[in-house]
Amino acid sequence: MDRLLNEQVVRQIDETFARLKEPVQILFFGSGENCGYCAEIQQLLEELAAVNDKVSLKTFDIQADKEAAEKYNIDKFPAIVIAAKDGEQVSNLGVQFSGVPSGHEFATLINDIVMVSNRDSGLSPDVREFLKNLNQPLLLQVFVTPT
Amino acid sequence: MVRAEGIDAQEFPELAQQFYVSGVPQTVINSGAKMVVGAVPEQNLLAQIKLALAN
Repeated sequence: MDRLLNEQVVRQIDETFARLKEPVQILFFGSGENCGYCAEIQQLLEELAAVNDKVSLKTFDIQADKEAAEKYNIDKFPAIVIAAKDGEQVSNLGVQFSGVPSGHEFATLINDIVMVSNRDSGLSPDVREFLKNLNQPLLLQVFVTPT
Repeated sequence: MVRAEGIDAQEFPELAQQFYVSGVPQTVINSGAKMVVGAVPEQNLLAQIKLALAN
């Protein structure tokens, strides 16, 4: 298959990833069946991970790797989890994208990687304080159209 | 404690329909406890989260 990211895009990503501080683990949950874009998304993520050593990729099959899917609360596919990595330890920060990360959502994916790598949400102090004291689960689902 | 999920509405139309997604972005808090349409400032989202959790 031809490369999905052209040279110019790779150069831009490379410049952005120069700001990465700590390792990032991308986990991709796809399926060999009933998934029109899984092969493309996997290839895209492989090309992304190849740009910078701090970004690594693990791929799972939603049917074959049920344990991993359960661990990361994956209830639909394709799904991409952007987790923090420290040595062999992978920490799920609850950052996930479900679907095809194309168009504007590709930029969001890149930003998520930078954010997780820098271990900084960029949120204001009062929001951080609120979240620190949160004592019940909070699920935020942001619907987007990747055009 | 916090999970943030971006969802491609075209890839998951049933889910989008379930939450009456008509414009994007639309943020659904705790599976429909509150919904926020559009890109709103951080403080507005926080206010809606507080309302959702108070229910």
